[in-house]
Amino acid sequence: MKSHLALMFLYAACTAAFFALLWRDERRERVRMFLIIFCSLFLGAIAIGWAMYGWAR
Amino acid sequence: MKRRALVAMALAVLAPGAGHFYLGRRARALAFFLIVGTMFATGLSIDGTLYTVAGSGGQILPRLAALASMGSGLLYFAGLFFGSGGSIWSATYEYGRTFTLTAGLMNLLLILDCWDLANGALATEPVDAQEKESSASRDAEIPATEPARPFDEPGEPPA
Repeated sequence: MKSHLALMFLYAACTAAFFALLWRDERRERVRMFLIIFCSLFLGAIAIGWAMYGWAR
Repeated sequence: MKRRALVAMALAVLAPGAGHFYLGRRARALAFFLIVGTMFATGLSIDGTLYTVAGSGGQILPRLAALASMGSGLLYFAGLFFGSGGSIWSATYEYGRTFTLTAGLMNLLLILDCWDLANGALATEPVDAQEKESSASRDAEIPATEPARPFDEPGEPPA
């Protein structure tokens, strides 16, 4: 697996699942925590990368 | 210091999730093992390597990274023993190192979580269940002000 996007997706999913399980006890709270961390890591990285691409030109 | 906490922490050092399994949280232990194991195996499979103290060159940050990677416990030493086989020329070399480093840090957090769980520092039940239990015990503590009377007991007839 050499795709950077796929690796970033896997990293974000594993990290989000880990902290959701570690920090929350209820299912609804876990799902919410998972989505917050996953979106922060995955979508946040894409957004920051997009912004950096604009500055680099 | 509780013996139970020390045993759980020692097991957590040996394998990710083993401490939680010992403390009775088996589903969560399996999930932690899969997550940390996936991170570690993915890191090595994409040409990543493991940080080592010997390879740190005397610098503080690589030494700290080596200590963090050692948090994976037996996985780390098995990886060293069998040879991680990473290549610095690979495009995913740094990704792999980040994956293995993160797996070690995750397991260090699991070790600390075992300590908290074994010493009762964390809630062991969902919040709803705790609230129900506390309200039930609060109701049981309220003394009855009047003795109970039968519902259909006839009163004294008026004179």
